[in-house]
Amino acid sequence: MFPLGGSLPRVDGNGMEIRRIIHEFYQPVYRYAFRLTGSAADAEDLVQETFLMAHAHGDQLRDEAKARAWLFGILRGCVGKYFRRRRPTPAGNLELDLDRLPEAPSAEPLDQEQLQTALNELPEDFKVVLLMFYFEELSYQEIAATLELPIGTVMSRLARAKTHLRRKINPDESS
Amino acid sequence: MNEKQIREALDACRPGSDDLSLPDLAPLARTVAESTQWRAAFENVRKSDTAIAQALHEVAIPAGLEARLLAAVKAAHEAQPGGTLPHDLAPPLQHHAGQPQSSTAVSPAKTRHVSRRTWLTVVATVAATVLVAAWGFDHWRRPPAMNAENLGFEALAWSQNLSADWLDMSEAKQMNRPVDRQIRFKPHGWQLVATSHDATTVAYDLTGARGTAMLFVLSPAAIPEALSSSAIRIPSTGGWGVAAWKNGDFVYVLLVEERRQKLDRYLASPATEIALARPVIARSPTS
Repeated sequence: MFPLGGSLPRVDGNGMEIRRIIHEFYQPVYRYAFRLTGSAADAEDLVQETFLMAHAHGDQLRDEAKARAWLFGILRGCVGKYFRRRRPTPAGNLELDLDRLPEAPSAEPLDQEQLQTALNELPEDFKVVLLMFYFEELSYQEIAATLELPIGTVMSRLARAKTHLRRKINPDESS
Repeated sequence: MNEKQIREALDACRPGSDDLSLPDLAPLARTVAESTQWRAAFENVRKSDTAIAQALHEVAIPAGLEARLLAAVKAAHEAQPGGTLPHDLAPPLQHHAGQPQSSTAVSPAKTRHVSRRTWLTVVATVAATVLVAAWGFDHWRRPPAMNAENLGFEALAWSQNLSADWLDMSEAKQMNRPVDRQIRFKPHGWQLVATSHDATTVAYDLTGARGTAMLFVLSPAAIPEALSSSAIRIPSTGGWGVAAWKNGDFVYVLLVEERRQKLDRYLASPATEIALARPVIARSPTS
């Protein structure tokens, strides 16, 4: 099943092996990294960094059920470094008119390129909140606690980021 | 709740969850129950969220990624048997999936990153300075022809002359010095740098999460026959990898910091090794 021979250490005392962690989670971690960076090459680097760090700190994982959230947390740390390394940017803002109510989405499948372009346009702090909501399925309170932000800030960033996304992928809503 | 608060609360409800029953969102639940307009808006947000969440997960996985990850972990494990990174680099695990994690998941990595980066910068600067000095001495002592070894040293010297402020890629076209198709990654910025071969050499920034890298595009007066469209690996030291090739009217020199990455990763076709002291670029008569 695994292409490599030899033994690798277990990640935790309950028997979860790093190769099994990689096998089970490399796909969602890669998808998350790709959506955060918009680059396949950078996403792959970040995924590798994430699993190397998971391997180095596997003793901290005591419950297999937490592995996904744990890996996503490591990935976010790596992505934070990535954003700082790429180009230091000031805290972003997203001026949007929130007066109009959300309209019904189109029945057509979403255009992947449009979706990623809309994501790439978001300031980093908005993008992270948005992807924690969609990818990690965290509530706004959980996002606020994780990022140590006021709940109002998270709700505002979430609403603005989602409005930006909806308007970009659903032209009817932006007109 | 005013309209803005209702809008934000609507967007805070997760698709497929029962967030509307949360005590904090009780005012929203009442509004949605009492107003057909807000109920419609709530349903539209849910439908939109479901479609977006589904689309976000539709990302093609690169072939062989799992094998590469296993190989990287295995290599790291074998390189450092028993060695581990500082304990505070990984995020804490006291929370369940779906429950909040401490933001220290992000901040400790910053500490490690800064110290390692500073260390690498110091080492790279010292190494580059020594190499530049050595090259300068050699250049002064023995002027005319360039050879492969010198080109490696030269590329390091060019990198030392680069400004920290890269220009936007949208303006790179005007220089008419395209990035060669051999390069697998998109550059993030560009700038002009004067070299002894070409006063308008264009440098492209290929630095990413994988590490530091840059591409120099030169248009020397005489392109030597020694270079072909296949990249050759130029001998270099100080943890840097250098490759060169030519395509059309341009000579391309790739410089990659190889501590965490391989030079070949940047190239569509792997670079081949060449012997030392082989003429690569004839010095321009005007330089």
